[in-house]
Amino acid sequence: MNGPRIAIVGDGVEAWLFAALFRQLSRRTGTLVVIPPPQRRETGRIALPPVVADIHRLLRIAPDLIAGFGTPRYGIEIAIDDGSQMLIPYGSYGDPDEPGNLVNAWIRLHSEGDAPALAGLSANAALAAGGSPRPDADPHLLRSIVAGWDVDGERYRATLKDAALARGVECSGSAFAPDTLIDADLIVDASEGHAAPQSGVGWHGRWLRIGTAAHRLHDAEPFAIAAVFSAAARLVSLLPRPDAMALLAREYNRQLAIELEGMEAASAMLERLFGQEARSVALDRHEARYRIAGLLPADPQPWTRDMWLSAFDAMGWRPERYDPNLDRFDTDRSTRRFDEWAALIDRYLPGRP
Amino acid sequence: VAIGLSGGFLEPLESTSINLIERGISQLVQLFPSGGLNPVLAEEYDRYMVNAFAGIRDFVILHYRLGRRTEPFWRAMREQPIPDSLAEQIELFEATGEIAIRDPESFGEPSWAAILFGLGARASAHHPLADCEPREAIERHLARGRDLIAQHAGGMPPHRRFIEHMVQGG
Repeated sequence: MNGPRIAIVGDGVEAWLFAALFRQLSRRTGTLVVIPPPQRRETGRIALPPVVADIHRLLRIAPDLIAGFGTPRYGIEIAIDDGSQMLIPYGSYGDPDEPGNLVNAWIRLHSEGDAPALAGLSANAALAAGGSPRPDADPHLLRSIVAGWDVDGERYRATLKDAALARGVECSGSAFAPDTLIDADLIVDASEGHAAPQSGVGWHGRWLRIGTAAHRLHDAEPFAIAAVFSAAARLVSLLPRPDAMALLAREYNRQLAIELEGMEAASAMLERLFGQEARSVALDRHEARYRIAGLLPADPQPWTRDMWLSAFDAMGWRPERYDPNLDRFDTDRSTRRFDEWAALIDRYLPGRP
Repeated sequence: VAIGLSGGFLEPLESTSINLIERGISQLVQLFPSGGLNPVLAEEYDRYMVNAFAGIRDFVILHYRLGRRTEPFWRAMREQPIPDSLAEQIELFEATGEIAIRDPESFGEPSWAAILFGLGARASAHHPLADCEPREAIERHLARGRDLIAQHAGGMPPHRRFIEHMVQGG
């Protein structure tokens, strides 16, 4: 088969990330050409969300390589007006592989006014505060740790470019110009705003906008990087076919709208944590569900339940009630589990101030 | 709160009432107004159940839309307008072989494919990545699946005997 001919306009992290991922996921079918925009801003340090661990595994990029120019990020840091920092940790409260979720048990105790501080139950929070895992750290504890990265953008871009070129991605010798005739079935705008064709968010006609070219959300959390990953996966599952472009675009945009609603709610949550006004119907619904019923967002969204709980707690929201299914469990047992988990963190992640 | 047939009726071409009762109970337990009635709880319940009904509605209507029976009832049902979401599903499938899953908690891709293919819908194209596999490899894979099913089904008792066995406390 020949496969689709795809051109990517862009030359930054998002363009090369998309190129490498799309090429890998599509089993190198068709052709993929990266066309640089006329100019490119130097990329300074950039934050990467935890999903990059999956991306790096897929692209066979070793963590040691990234560690050469990056440092782990254990959560989203939010500067408070008084100069202090707040952390929405990645990772989970408790071992994610163990039955019986600590999150639900915590909501129950919190609604009754008797829950321990969440920060003491997060291995990620301990690591962000300067803790370092002992070599003999408990595997349950290690499983709860999830990290993103803070990296030198230029070196990260070079790493992704190498990964893409090694997978047969071609690089155009001439720069993109608005009147350039591009011989491709689909043109992906991954220019991070430098090429900016006149089209809406998502897939319209021959143009598909991804990453920050499609939606710029809160800088504190790199939603666009996660969105580039899902855009590549979604485009592979709806691989362009010349006689069905409009139908595939419609389905792509339907799926994108669901993803965007979740990302916009999380972005609005961050705005509110920064003390700014942010309107979001989806977030208002999440807030009402949590405050009134003790329920966390269950719809597709970029954050885990544990992260939403941290954010809601940081806002000072307390649920009026909890999931009645939890009445089956004894509260003393929950308290013991919290104590045991906090003790594991203290024991195996020493070094905090 | 109305649950089961009191809450809504989707005719029984696919027996979905039990599933909707289970999903209704599960939501009701999660949202149970133990701390007092609050409209948010009811809105949340309704939002969830409306989505559940809509997903199943499209799947049931598909049987009529693609059905080939020629009696007046079936012909009349085939002429009824269908929801946009179902029209888009059929159009997407016929043009590309893709299936859009809008309600992941009810019918999945195998169920949609079974009804679409079973009632004669034909996809005029397939996913291009399928061409990366040699045809013989795909046929071998499908034959292995058929053999496995036949092997398991061959060892099972007939349905009536299974029910009788259950009734007798087996």
